[in-house]
Amino acid sequence: MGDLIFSLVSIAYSIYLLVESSKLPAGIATIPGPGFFPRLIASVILVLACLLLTFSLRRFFKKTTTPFPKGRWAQVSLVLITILLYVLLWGRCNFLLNTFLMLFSIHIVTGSKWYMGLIGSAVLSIGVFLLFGNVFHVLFF
Amino acid sequence: MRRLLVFVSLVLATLLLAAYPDKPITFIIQAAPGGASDMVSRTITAIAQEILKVPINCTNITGAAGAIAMKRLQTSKPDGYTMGYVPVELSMVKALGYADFGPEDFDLLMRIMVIPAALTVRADSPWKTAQEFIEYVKTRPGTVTVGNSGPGSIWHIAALSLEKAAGIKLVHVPFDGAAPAVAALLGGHITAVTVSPTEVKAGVESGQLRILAVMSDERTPLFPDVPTMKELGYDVSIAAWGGLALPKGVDPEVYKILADAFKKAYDSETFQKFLLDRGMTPAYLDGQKFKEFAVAQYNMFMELIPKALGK
Amino acid sequence: MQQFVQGFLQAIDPRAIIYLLVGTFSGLIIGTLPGLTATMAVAIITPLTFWLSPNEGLAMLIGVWNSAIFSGGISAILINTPGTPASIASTFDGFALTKKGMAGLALGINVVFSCVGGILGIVALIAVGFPLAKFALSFGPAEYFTLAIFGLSTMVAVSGKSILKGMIAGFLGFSIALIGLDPIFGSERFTFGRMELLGGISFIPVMIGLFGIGEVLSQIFTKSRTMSADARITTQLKRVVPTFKEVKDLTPVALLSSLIGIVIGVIPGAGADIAGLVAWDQSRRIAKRPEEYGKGSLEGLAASTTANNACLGGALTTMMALGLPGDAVTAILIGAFIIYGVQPGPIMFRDHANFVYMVITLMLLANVVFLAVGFFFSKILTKFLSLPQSFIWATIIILSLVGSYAINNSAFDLMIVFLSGVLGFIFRLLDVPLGPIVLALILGPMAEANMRRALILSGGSFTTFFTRPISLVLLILSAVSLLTSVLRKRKS
Repeated sequence: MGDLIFSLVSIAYSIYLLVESSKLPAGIATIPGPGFFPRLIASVILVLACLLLTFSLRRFFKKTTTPFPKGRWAQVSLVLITILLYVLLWGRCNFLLNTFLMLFSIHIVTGSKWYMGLIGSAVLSIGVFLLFGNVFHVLFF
Repeated sequence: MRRLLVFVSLVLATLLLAAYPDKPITFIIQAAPGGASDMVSRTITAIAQEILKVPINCTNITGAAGAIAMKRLQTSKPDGYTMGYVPVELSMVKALGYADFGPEDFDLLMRIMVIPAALTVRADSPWKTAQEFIEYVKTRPGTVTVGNSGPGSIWHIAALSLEKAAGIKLVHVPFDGAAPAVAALLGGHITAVTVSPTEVKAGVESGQLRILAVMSDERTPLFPDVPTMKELGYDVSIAAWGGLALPKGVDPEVYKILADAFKKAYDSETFQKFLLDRGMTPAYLDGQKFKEFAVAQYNMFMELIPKALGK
Repeated sequence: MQQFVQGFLQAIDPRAIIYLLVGTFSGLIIGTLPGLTATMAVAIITPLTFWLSPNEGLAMLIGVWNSAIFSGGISAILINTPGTPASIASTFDGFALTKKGMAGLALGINVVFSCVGGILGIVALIAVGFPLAKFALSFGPAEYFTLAIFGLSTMVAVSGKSILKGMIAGFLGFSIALIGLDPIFGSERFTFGRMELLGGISFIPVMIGLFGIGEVLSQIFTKSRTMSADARITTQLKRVVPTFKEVKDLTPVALLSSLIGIVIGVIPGAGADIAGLVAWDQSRRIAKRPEEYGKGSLEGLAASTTANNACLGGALTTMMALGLPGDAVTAILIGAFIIYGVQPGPIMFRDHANFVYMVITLMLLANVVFLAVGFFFSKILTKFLSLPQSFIWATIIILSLVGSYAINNSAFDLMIVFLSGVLGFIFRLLDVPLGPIVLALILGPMAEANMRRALILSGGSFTTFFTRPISLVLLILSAVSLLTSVLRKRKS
């Protein structure tokens, strides 16, 4: 199942890459231009992905395909949304507060007790702020 | 009443300004750690922070020939707490099509140094002078390979201008930085390079390389025996330079404090020795003169680059 | 002789030793933190050393450099995130060992063999420095291209179960590396008019996202117990120091890997990351149990940790004998040397021989020092794994994000880490290997730029790759390496 998805996405991506790279000059045969490698790479991905597609389709119809892995989708999505929000809000509000909130919600989502999360996030965010902000002079906000 | 308000605000303003600087200054470096820009910045700020009595924190922001860092500097708050290093690319990025700003979009503080381009060949090559080299290229147009530090880099432009001034046709080989180009020259993979004298110093001193000419108006203190292209009758003058800049609109008082402090740091023995050791020509210009210089360079590159690169 | 004694005495000056220790400790911390690289560490410290005497300043710089490369392996082993790019190959077997409950021993191997590699690298510098440097100069664009191809032939070996999927992943990585300015013409490729993309996608945020964030997400997904305070794991953590027999068994692999590391280090522009990857693949040929590579092989780990530290001696050789930077760190060191009034290059060995001896002694001392403190430091860090899972996950996430931001202070890079993290997670779900992606990200641009450069020099003739001897040898080696890897995969 995974192979099927991967090959389809790769095929779509390689076609997009081919279209985009056709806008770049390919250069003359002996001195390749900026468009030569993008085209080459896109074509290789396309060929390989088509091969993978045929193999995985054969398994799909023979019903020997491995089932999609089961797991904790809800938790992963929540953690992802938290990180995405943190990244999007970078530069707004306050670094310490943002970091603390993100870490705290990761703690809660992954099943920490609330007081453990509180302590852990506070210590970690202050530690990161001091180390990176004061020692390495990273530009925080 | 109104007068009183004006008076109070004036006093307040003076008090506030008198306090400048009272917190760390952020210094943006437009290149990766280790290069000439980085070392100049870190050295001058290390001295200046002793004078200003506040820490100056250097931070590297790389990408797009420094355009990303300079854009960041340009859009920073002009409160005197953000400043940065500006290299020759300040006058080039617009012509290269990387960004939409030029030197007039900053409050320039001072110019620090210049490094000219130098035409260098292997010591075992037959050419003893730049004329001999140019005459040779004339007989074989489009076969002599010249390395530079990247497409659109200042050393690439140097080779292009030499081509134009001498009426010759070279094969340009861009490398990822000046050091790999010099390595390729030492290994005999290319015929010449047009990078700075600093980069080829080790090779020249050990007798493996020979500098034919420098492309500045005056000879470089690093190699006083090497003639300039102008002395030889070719009208080329291409040099990399570097200076300090602030976002546009900094308060004149703050500007003056910074300008004085950095002038002092520039004049210090440590910094002068550092510049000469690294093969850079100390070339101080105050803010106003630096701006005139940078704008003149900007106009030159706006004309030169589109023609040279076909952009 | 007098020069030697003078240099040696400068290096073992008590004040120099203290600065060496300070440097080593800073390097340990910076190297372990994902995102902060050895280059950054050395660059931050260089201006501070202007106020020190040469032996003190260089002691500090050399200490930082050596220990940062070594300690990058610690995070590779413990959390599957390379602390510096030099340790990418250490994740393959290092983290597999941690999952088996052998984190302590893996860290011990990292300490011992980083030191072995480091010392062998310096021995090579002393013994054959000049011929080696001369060899480095014979590398022109054609040779760089074929070297990149040789490195890329490792792709099959790091492909995991399916070669086909590994190859697709590799070329996907290659396509990411295309973004930015074209290396030869300077035209924009896939930049969509955004200035942040002109410089291309930075490699380190991608690497940290794929490995660090991706690993955390997949652990949350499967709620794996591999990183928790499992009783079985903590009992085994206690043994950090490898036995004499273990070290002896790993010696052949380590010797071959140091050789690979030294040679790649000598070539300017090819660094410890490539050395580690190539050594990991090639050392398998003489390994006692090659089938264990990637599944927690001590030999595989020893290979990558030896090679990346051996690389330093190689890079230093190029820098001192030619005056050319062998990598980003030596570029900064050249600056430091010049400040102390010594121009690196052949004449340095004549005019400043005592300085050369001092640097060599300091390099050797730095290896001894991190051998001593490395065990202690690694032992403390293993305690990190006995924290509750949520703590570990939160720490890795925030260090990955802030560490990647720190390189360039760019909010754009944060987005790159996030997206690479998502990609890393999905690829783990779909069983797509990550090794080929990072391999292509490192070597793809090198292959493209140098192939085009070589063609400019040869006037467009492809025969240049076959008529130049080193280039031809590298091509044959790549073909052999590729074939044997494919056959080995077929068998298993």
